[in-house]
Amino acid sequence: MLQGFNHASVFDMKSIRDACLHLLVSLLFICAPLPAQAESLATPLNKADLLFLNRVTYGVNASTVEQYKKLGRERFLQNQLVFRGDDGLPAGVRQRIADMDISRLGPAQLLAERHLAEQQLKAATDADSRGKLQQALNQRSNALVLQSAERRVLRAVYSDNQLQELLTWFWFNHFNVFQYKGYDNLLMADYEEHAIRPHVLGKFRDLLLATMTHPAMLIYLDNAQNAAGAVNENYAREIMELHTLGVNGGYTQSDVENLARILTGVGVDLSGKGCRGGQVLPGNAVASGPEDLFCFNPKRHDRSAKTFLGQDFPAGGGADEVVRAADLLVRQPATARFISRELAVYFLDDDPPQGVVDAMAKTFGQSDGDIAKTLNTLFHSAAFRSGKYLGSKYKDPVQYVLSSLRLLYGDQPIQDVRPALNWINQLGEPLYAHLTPDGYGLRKQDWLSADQMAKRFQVARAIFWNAGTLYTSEPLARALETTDKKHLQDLRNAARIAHPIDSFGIYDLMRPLLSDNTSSVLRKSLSMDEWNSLLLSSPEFMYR
Amino acid sequence: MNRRQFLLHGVAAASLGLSWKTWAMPAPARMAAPRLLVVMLRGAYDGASLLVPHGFPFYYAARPTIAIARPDPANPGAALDIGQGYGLHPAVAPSLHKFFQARQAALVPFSGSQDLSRSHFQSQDVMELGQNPNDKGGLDYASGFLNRLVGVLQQGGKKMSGMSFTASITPVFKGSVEIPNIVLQGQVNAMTDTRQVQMLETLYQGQRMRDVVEEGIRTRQQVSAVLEKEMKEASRGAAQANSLEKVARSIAALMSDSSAYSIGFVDVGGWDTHVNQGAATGALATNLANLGNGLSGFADELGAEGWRNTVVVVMSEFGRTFHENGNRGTDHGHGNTMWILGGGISGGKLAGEQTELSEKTLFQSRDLPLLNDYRSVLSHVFSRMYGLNAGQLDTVFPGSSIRDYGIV
Repeated sequence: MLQGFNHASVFDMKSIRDACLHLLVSLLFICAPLPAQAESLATPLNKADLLFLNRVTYGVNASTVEQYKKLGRERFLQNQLVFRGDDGLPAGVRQRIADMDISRLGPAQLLAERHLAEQQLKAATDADSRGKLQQALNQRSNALVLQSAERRVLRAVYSDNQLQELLTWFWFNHFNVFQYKGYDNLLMADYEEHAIRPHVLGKFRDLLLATMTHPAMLIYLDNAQNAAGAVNENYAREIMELHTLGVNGGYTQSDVENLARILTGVGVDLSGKGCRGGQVLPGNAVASGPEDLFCFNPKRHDRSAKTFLGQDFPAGGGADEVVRAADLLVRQPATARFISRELAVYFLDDDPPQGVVDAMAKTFGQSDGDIAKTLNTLFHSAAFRSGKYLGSKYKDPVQYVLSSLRLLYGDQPIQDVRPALNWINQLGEPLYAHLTPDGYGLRKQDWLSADQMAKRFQVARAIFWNAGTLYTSEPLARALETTDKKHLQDLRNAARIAHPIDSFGIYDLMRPLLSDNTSSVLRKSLSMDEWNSLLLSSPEFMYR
Repeated sequence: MNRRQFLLHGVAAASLGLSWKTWAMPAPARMAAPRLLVVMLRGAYDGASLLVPHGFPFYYAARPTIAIARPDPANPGAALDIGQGYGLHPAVAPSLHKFFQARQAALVPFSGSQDLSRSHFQSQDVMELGQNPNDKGGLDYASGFLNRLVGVLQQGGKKMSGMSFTASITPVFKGSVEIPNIVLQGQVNAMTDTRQVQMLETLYQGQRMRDVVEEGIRTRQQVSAVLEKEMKEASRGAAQANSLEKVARSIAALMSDSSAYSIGFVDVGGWDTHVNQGAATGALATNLANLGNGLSGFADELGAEGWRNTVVVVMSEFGRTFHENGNRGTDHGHGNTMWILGGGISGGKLAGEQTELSEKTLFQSRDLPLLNDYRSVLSHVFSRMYGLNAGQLDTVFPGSSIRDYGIV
C-alpha cells in the first residue's frame, strides 16, 4: 500500500487515506508522514484566496472553502456583509442554542428567578442551608454565562456567516461589559443577543443606542445610579473616549460633565414590576434592551440647561436629550474616523494607511454610519485588495483557538465546548471577563509575548489530544465527572477514535500558506499528533 | 508637638523649598545587589482613602459618606495616625502601617503624571512610557521607562534582567531589550519534551519571532524550576493566602533566585471606584488589604537580607476626585499618593512637596493637585539605587528634574 503511494491515482489515494485514518491508533508511524508528502486531492485554493478567507472568517475550513469556490470572492463577500442570524448553522447546533436557558428565558425572568433565590437565601436560618443556597445561586450565574460562551463559540466555529460572528466579538468588545458587575451575569446573554448582534452589520447609531438603553451597560458603567444631584461621570466619559469620539476626539472635561447630566435618569428598574413612573426613549425604534428593565426616569433627570459639544440643550429637556446627544455623537467626524480606524485595525493592519481610514470615514459619514457599507469600502480598497497586508495580523487568543477548532473539528460540531473556553482563558482572553471598558487589544503588541507563545505551544498539543473530550456530550460528561470517571474516560477514548482528524484534508487546506521550512519540519514528524500540534504551532498559523 | 504645628511646619518647609537639594554629582549606589518591583494599580486608586488627611476638616466636608474616621484607638475603623495631619487606612494596619513604623515605607502625596486626559488607558500608557511630557513629538509607544532602565544598566555592565509578571508586555517594558513575561496565576509547567522543544525551535529558525519563542520556552523552564523548589521549601504551614499574596510570594522567589530577575513589573486591577467604594470596610478596603498583605508576603519571602536590597514602587495612573460623587464613590481626578517600600530605605515619612488641603488648593476645583512629578520621584529612587549618572538618568526619564526626596 505504501509502495504504490507516490503513483497513486486520486481514487487509490482516497482508499489509502481511509485505511490510514482507520488505523490511526495502531499505525501512527506508518501513516503519519503522509500528509506532508501527499498530492492534493481537491483543487486547493491559491495563497491569496486563503489569506483573504482567513481575514474575513475565523479561519478556513472545508465548508467555507467550498462556499468560496462556488460563489467567487465578490459574491462570497456580499453574502457575508448581510446579517443572517443563525441561518448558516447546522440544524443540530441551532437546536442546541434554542434549547439553552438563555434562549428560553428573558432577562426579566432570569432576574425574577434570582430575586426568589435571594429571598430564600435571606430567609434561611442556619449557615449550612445558607451556604448551599449561595452555592446554587453562584452555580446558576456561572451556568448562564457559560451558555453565552458556548453559544458564541458554536456560532463562531460552525456558522457559514463568518463575518457577522467576527463582528459579534468585535462590537461586544467595543461596547464591553463585564460579567461580574452587579446582575450583569444574568443580562450578558440578552445584551449580546439583542443589543449587539442584530446591529453588527447595521447602523452604528442603532448599535450605540441599543447599548445605551441596555441594563447590562447601564449597570456596568454605573449610569443606573446617575441622577440629578448625584451625578456620576463614568459612563459619559467612556461613551466619548471609547465608544464614539476616541480619546483625542476633541471633547473636554466640560463635555464629560454635561453629557453625564444629559444621561441622568437613564437607568434600570429591576423590581420586576415594570418601569415605574418612567418611559422608554422617544423615537427610539431600536431600544432593544428589555423594556421592562430599562427605565428612563424623568424625576431623576437633570432638567437644567446644558451645553454639549458646542450645542445648547435648553432647560426643561427630558429623554429627548439622550437621543439628541447620541445623534450628535454619531455625526461627529471624529466618530467616523475613530470607528473606521478600529475596524481597519481589526480587518486590515495594526497601523492602517490613513487613506483607507479616510475613505471608510467618508462612507460612514455619507451612509449614516452604515457598518456594512463602511466595511465594503475597506474590503474594496486598493490596500486590502493588493493583499500586501494579508497574513500579517497576529491572531488574538480567541482567533487562535477558534481557527484551530475550525481547521481540526470544523466538519462535525463538537459536543463539549468547555475545553475550548479553557484554552481561551489560559491564553488570557476569557469571554465576558474583561474588567475594563476598553475591551481587549486588537494589535500584535497586545498579545505577542514570550509567555503567550509558550502557552500556545502547550495549547496546540491539547487541542489535538482532547478530541475525545470535545466529542463527548457535555451534560453526560458533567453527570459522570462526579459519579463515574472511569466510564467517562472510556467514552472519551471511544469518541476520540470515532472522530479521527482528517490531517490530509487539513494539509490540502493549509499547504499553500506553509513555508518550505515549516513543510520540512512537518515532514519530520513521527506521528499524527506531532504533525497536528506542529502545524498549529507554526508561524504561519499564528497569523491571519 | 501638636497637629497644628506639624501642619504649619510642613507647609512652611514646602513653600520655602527648604527640603530640596540639587545634586552636583551622581550619588553612589547604596545597594549591593538592588532589586526593583514596580506595582501598577490600574483603574486609579483613591489615594485620599489610603493616606487619610484627617487633620484637614475640608476632607470630612468633601466626603460626607466615604471618609475614614479621625484616629481613635477605640475605633477599629479609624485612620492610623502617622503625624502631620495624616493617617493610614485601617485595612493596611498589618502591612503598610507596619512598614511605615519600621521606616521601611515612604509615601509621596500630590504625585503622579502630568497627563490630563483623565482617561485610564491613555494615562496608564503615558505613565508606563515615562517620556518627556514637554516633548512635542508625541508618544513613542515602543519605549517604556523600565525597558530603558534595564538598557542603561546592561550597557553599564550590570547583570540586570527584567521580567514582566503580566499576560503581555505592557508599555512600561516595551523597547529595545527583549523582556520575557510570565503569568503566575495557576500552574506554570515547563516544556519537558525535548524533542518538541527542538522541533519548535526549528520551526521558528530565521523567523522574526524566534527570539520571543526561545525566550518563552526558556522562561517557562527557569520559572517552573524556581517555583518547584520554592513550593517544597515553602510548605512551612503558611496560612492560606489570597491570590495576590500567592503571586507576590512567587515573584519574590523568582527575584531572589540569583540567576533570575532583578527588575520586575506587576499590575493589579479593580480600583475604579465610581460607586459605593466603601470607607473603613468595603470594596476599596478589601483591595487595599489584599495589596498590603501581598507586599508583606513579598517582603517576608525575600527574607531580611533580600528585603534590605529591594525597593517596591506602587503607583496608579491618576488620583480620584477629592469630593465624593453622588453615588458614594469618586470620579477621575489628578494627583495621587505613591508608595515607596524597602528594607533599606529611609522611610517612615511623607516625602516631596506638600500643601494644605482646602477648596482653593484643589486642582480645577475637583482634584488633588500635582506637586511631585512621578518621573522625578522615580529618578531619585533609581539614581540612588543604581548610582546612575545624569546621562543615564536622562535616558530613563528624559528631561526630568532631579530632586532629593530623601527616600533612598
